[in-house]
Amino acid sequence: MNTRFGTLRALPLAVAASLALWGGAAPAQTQEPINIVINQSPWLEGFANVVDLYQQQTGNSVTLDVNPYAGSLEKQRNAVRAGESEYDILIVNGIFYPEMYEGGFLEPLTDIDPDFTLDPQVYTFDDTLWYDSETKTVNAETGDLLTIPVNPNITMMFYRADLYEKHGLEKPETWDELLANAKAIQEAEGIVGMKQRAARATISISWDYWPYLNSFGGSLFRDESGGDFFVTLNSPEALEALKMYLKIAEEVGPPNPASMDQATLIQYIVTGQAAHAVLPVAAQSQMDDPNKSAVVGKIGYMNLPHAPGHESAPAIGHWLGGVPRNLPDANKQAAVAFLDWFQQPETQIAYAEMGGSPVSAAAYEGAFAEKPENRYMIAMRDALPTARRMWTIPEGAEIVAVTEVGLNRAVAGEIGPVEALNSMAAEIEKIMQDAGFETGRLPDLAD
Amino acid sequence: MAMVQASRPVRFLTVLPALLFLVLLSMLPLANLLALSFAKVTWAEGSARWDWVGLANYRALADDALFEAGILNTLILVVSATTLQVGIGLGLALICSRLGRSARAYRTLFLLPILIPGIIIGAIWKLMYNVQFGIINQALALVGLGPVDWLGSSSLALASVIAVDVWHWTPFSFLLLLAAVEALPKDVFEAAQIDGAGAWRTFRRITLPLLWPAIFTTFIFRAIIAFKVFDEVYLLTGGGPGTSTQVISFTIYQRFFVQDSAGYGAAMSVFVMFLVAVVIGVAMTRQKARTR
Repeated sequence: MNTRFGTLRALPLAVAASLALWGGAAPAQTQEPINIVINQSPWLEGFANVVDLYQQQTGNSVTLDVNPYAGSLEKQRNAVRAGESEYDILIVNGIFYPEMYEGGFLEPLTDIDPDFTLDPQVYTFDDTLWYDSETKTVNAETGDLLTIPVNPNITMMFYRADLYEKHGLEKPETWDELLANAKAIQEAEGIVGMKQRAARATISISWDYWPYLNSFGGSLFRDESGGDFFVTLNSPEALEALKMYLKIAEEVGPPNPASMDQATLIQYIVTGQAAHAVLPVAAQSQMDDPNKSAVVGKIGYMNLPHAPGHESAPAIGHWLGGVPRNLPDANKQAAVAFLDWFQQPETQIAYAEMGGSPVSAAAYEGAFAEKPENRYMIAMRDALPTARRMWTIPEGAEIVAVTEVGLNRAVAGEIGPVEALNSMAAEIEKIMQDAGFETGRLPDLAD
Repeated sequence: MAMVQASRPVRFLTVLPALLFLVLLSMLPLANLLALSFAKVTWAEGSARWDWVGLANYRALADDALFEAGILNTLILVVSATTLQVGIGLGLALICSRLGRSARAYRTLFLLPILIPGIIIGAIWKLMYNVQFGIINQALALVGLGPVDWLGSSSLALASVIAVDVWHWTPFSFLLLLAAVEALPKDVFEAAQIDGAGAWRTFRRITLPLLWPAIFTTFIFRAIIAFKVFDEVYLLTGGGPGTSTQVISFTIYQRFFVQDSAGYGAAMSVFVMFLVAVVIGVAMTRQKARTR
């Protein structure tokens, strides 16, 4: 095996081996070896499995360079800014892809292989696969196809379905109903009612808060899709959303919610110490694993709540695979060959079977999704139509640095919600001004 | 034997390779950092573009809450951690100097923390501080206390980081001060003993003044290193909760690399270097005046 990633893939190997036998004897290598830079995430294991399958089926060699989240981003930036990239495929996060797009660092996939077409069953995640360099917008009609999705990370509510049944609770539609359910379980069972991902990181609390913001009718900009970058983060709707976020943290959260990161949330859920947590869908792979979970078969999945009169708005934090421009042609061809193989319906179903999170309706709408152990796929199917991207501008890296600190300080109690929103809006307005956008911001919220 | 005096050009040529080496390795990167601090760098179409922004990056420092928190927390950490390290290091050095032959074993034991890589220290202490299964909370539970969220509580997180820094770096102070203690002139102490001076009086009036230059130098060395603290914060708290453990190196890392604001990150770096130089310069000047 050529991956630098460890060997923790015993179970799926049987599937992989049997699928590899489709082609009879091991095929000869037809493409250059490729090197993929990827981050360490809950979905890595599934992706590594599918990479193994590719190697077995095609004889082509793939290396995974696995890094912490921020480290992966740094390596990607360095690679595309060098004379020649050391990576053939970049696995770019749904938050940071705009800087790769606008910087002109990725080669349109159809320029590498004119015959390449996106499989019609692959989800397009708010059209974030295409980029129009003239209008500097993501646009499926006029843009170039720069990436294909490799992971569908949207947020979902993970909850203790067994406790819901025990206490006769209904799935919540609104945040208030969620709060009531979390309180009921917390009081009856003595476990934490709701865990929020409120820690500061490269991106953590922002991704957790955004579904509240959007589902209260708030937004970062007045109309980003229409090119209106007037900052509206300090709107009354955003304030209501933040107050609700803080209320949940205070009433049904752990004692120090401001330090809760994703790994801690997963730890609390799999050890049966929390009733609810909003997590990326990829974390489902750990819930029914008896080696990692004390709540096998007890976790249910549902779409996120919303404010009355609004719709649920899970945040898209998907991952995209793209090919750097600064590569030799043979490497570009090899990279596209992998991506093309990856997006095919049969690969996507195999990806799901091997513990991955597929990106194609072929997996979510087939019989496979109806099995009890794949129940997350039903919730995912419901959530995808209303999932919302956070932003599509390269200044996202600067914006998220502001929101991570501002929101976390509010949860930690260093500043109040009004001051947090006003100060974040002011900082974001300045970032946009400095970047040359026509911008502005709402008047400060009053205390 | 008579010394041959080299001519001025020969002396200059002799020093030149070392000078060039210094310029290449130190001055050029510093000059590049300084130039970067007056620019905004953007990447487009695969190449970097530098736009001159004058003092804008420096002016922006005044409005940066993360920078302000970073400076404040770093100063708290530098003063408290360094004071504790020098104090404990001095105590251990004095004890060790009286142990005779067994001192060697203790010396090795005391030096262990400084030999452990930062990443391992982070992992060890993160586990020890864990609210649910950390050994510290388990020990507290035995006497009916806790659990305490050492790293998750805004009021405790910085103190917890300082405790790790003290554990990690006290051996450095110990090592420097032990050398100074062992070099103290014995006759002075014998004379004090003959004159009937007690232990505390001897320590206050003789040991401490004689050791003062070494203590001061150790403090300055440690303060300079402590000012650069990064790995402990990165591994233990990530600067949070809120800004309670935000230190300046971590702020620079976030602005420079994560946020990709190279110009602004460079301005922050230059300012911090200037600040450290001023603080150290003032301290050295005062020490010289005191010595005179």
